[in-house]
Amino acid sequence: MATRTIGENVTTTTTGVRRKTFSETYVGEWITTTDHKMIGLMYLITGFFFFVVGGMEALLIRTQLAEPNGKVLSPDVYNQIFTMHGTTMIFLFVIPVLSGFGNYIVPLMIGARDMAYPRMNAFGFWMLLFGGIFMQSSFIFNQAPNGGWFMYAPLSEITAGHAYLATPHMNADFWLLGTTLLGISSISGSLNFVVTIFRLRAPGMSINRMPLFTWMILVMSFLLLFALPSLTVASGLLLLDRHVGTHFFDTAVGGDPLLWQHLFWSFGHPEVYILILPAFGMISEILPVFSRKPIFGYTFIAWSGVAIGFLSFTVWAHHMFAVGLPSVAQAFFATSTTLIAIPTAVKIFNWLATIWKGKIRFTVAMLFALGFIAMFLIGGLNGAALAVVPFDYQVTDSYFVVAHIHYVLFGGTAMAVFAGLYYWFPKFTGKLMNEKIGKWQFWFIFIGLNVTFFPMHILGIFGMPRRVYTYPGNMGWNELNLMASIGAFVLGIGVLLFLFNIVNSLKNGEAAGDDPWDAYTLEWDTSSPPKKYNFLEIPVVRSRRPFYDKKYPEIADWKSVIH
Amino acid sequence: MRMPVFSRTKRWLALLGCVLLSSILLSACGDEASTSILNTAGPVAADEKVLFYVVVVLAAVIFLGVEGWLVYSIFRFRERPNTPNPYQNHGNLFLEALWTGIPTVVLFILLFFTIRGLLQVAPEAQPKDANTVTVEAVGHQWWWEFYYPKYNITTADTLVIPAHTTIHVDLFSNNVIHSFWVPNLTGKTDLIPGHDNTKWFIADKNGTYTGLCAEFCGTQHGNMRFEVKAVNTDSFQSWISTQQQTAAAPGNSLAQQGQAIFKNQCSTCHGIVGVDVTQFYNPQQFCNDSLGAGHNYPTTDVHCLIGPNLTHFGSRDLIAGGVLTNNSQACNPTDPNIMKDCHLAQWLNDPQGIKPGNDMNIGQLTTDQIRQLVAYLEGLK
Amino acid sequence: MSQEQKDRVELQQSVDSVNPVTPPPDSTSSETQAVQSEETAVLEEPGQGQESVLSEEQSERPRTKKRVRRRTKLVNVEEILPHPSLWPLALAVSVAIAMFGIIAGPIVCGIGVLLIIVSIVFWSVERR
Repeated sequence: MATRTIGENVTTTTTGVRRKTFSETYVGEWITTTDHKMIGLMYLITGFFFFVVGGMEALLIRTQLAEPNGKVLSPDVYNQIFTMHGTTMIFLFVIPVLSGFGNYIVPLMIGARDMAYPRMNAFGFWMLLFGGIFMQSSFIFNQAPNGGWFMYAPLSEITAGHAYLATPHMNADFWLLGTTLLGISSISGSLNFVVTIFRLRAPGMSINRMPLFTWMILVMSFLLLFALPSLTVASGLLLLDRHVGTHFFDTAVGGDPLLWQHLFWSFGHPEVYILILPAFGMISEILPVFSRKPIFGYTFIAWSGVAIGFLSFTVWAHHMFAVGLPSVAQAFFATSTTLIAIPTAVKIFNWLATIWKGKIRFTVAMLFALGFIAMFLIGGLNGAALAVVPFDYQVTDSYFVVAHIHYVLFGGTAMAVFAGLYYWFPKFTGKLMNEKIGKWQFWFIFIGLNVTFFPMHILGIFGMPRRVYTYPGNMGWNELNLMASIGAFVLGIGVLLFLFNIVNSLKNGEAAGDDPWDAYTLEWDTSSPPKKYNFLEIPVVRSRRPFYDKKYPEIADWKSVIH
Repeated sequence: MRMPVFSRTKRWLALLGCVLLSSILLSACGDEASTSILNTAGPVAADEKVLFYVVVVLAAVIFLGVEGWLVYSIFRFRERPNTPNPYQNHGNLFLEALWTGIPTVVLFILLFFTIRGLLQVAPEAQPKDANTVTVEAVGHQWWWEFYYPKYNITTADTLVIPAHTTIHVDLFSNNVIHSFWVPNLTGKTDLIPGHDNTKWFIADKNGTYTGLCAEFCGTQHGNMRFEVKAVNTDSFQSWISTQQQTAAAPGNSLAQQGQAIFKNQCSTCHGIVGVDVTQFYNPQQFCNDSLGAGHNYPTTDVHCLIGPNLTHFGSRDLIAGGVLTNNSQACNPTDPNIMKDCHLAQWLNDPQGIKPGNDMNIGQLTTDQIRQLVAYLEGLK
Repeated sequence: MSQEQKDRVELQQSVDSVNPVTPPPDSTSSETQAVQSEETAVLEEPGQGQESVLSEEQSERPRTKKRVRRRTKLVNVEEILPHPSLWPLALAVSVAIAMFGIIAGPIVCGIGVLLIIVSIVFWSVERR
């Protein structure tokens, strides 16, 4: 074979040697890439970076609240920090990380060479990065958004959180523009996913045979496409109110603050299902592999995801039970919220049936997946409790809600993200993550999460409202707050272990091979990391577990079941 | 031979871990906070508490059942060296029907209790009571104003009510959204600018119940508390009469000097002491003329007080949204240690230090001025 | 050597072991021939050869030299995969500038809109 290299700046061709083009340099390759795998990695790295930012904000909050009459943060700073904690975690951690997994894995799972619109894929990532940088830059001006992550009007209309200052500050503007940029990113990503999943599946892979993670990404994409317009409109109206002199949310002249709430939650509720459905998908991939069984009730899990998607548009006002809606409306939303709990329950039972009579292997990915079921169940139960309207009157806007959101988002989505990373890291990098460190991480996270968030149920019942920068010492809330703060630092240690594990495994990880877990879906039928073209030849699929069929042809699924 | 689950050391660690983890549940024991929603003192809160018990029982049963199933599976089906390949079960329609049907039934039972409960405490369910006391609660940033239209009196931060009587509250805000929450007596309802929200509750026994603002309303949302004081009907009536009287005249020279300072420096935001409220007061009027460019601040508009009316300040319990109590008995104007003992003095000395970001941006008062003001204000019983 | 080139080399090596490629007859030296043969990377495109169902026998692992007749087209990797492109980044920067201009002033907004138009134009005419 002729000699290959050469030097840093040149490359060989058949006719000789030439300077590398920009896209062939290391930096240029990342900046101009349209390869779904590289874009997926960029999403993941960005998402995990913002996870650390949001996590530090959380630790600041918990330090301030560890004791009554805390003096760690002034109320103005506290209000910026808690707003940015929520905003960063939701828009800059969960969505990018889930998109990152989707981007990397979905084309591989469906046997495609790339997404349908590779340049738009890249565009989506860069919008996310700039949107994130733009929003975080608000701290430099000391005008980080400070109206809570849902920016209720008219508070967000007025100023830096106070009705009597003459000049509007830009806090809310950073939020509004930032989320619009991020919305553009999500919309372009969603369009891409929908077209890719509908059009680029391998021969033989009907919709009913595609992996559940792909199903959930599809539903998530539809939800994003239908929900983001509400947020964009609401943000547009608020920007107009703030800068042009309109009065959409200003009652003195005929507007209505509740308009913001209805518009926001029409986005906000589907948004939370956007945050959890891909996590459901990942768990549905991981549990079967480490129980050595197929997923139980594939059709039911898939369609319950679709049902959740549809129903998520009918429940938004359960975030508004205390605003004084008429009783009929309250009853309607209580009913729709009750209905949405049913498909969720169906999923949990199907997952439990998957591991039943299986052969459970306790890798770190499996530990996180099992932990997900345990914690998400709690989140689902306290969520169903919040749907009980009279009870909600007492505990809404209190720490009970904070407990709920963190059990579903941390105990749910974040655990699934950790599971997914431990599961797919070998595929992304060709190296295994260290299982021992991973197990320590799991226990720190699991214990930390419960110690932090379980007491918040009780704080809510004890009457502690949310979003308070401090509290007096004689309310009876002191010990529980201290407990939650200690738990937060335990969680912090877990996250540090996680980051250490990633860095360490990249350098010293054991070689993984193509299929370290003996898995079932097509993404494992590639090298680790996959070649740029993914598959040497596009496979033909005959069942829901095409790689399993290929490895075990005698007991292949297509021989025993008709799908 | 069945392999043990853990080696000896790991077994102890697992046990220790479980014990530690379940100690979290103990956090529910211990002294209940006074503001607990379970510490009910009225029928609305009691009806809401029923739902709590329904929820807790259902959740506990489901939790134990499902987590138990999970934990059992983890132990029973863990991989052991000689475990054969499991049967590749793809699904079972009967089970799917079962575990769709049973949750549906359970959830609809819960829904029944939900709808019944919400109708029980709804505004339209307010008992028809000839003695109903109507109060207008106005949320400010960051204190509570209570105006009794029938008696034409206004007060701040303490809502005095007769026990065993239906209290009807009209909720107004002329700035941002707040929320009226007295956990011992009732769940919350928001105060939304432009909306006429109402609620009702009854206090079953005398007592003082803490109230909180429960909707993020800006910098000092965390210090926007109030209290509901339920008293006998007679005490209530006498309190009303006192509040309806004109302001007490300053008793001594210190208080007279305090009155002079007040007229010069404080009435811009706190209004004029002792004037008949009906002349100008309309708590529903919006104070921001427009939320576009150029907000007009209501410092000159007596319809829009920034600070509470102080006509009967001396008989109040709370200062500035409950951030301090008004310990009048410790407020002797001639006390050499007045700054340490008297909360009002502390407040007058440094309102921004106690409640950073609030609207009371006054220059530094001298200790003498503070003594005079304390004398005057505490005299306004 | 870039990752892409390494891929191509490996690809060629693995395929060569299954299906040796005969270089076109010409009088160039063997070294150049070897270099030339790397140009023909082999990717099986779906639907273009029913016989690729027999692909159970073909994989990326080196196999015995079993000659399998395939009616598949040999395709260059670079022709199949999406090209790298600067325009997504450019468009993202332009949108961010335009968005920021909503509060920073109409001039910034105008620059942003201009850049958006430029980016979209170049994006559209770019060879995919």
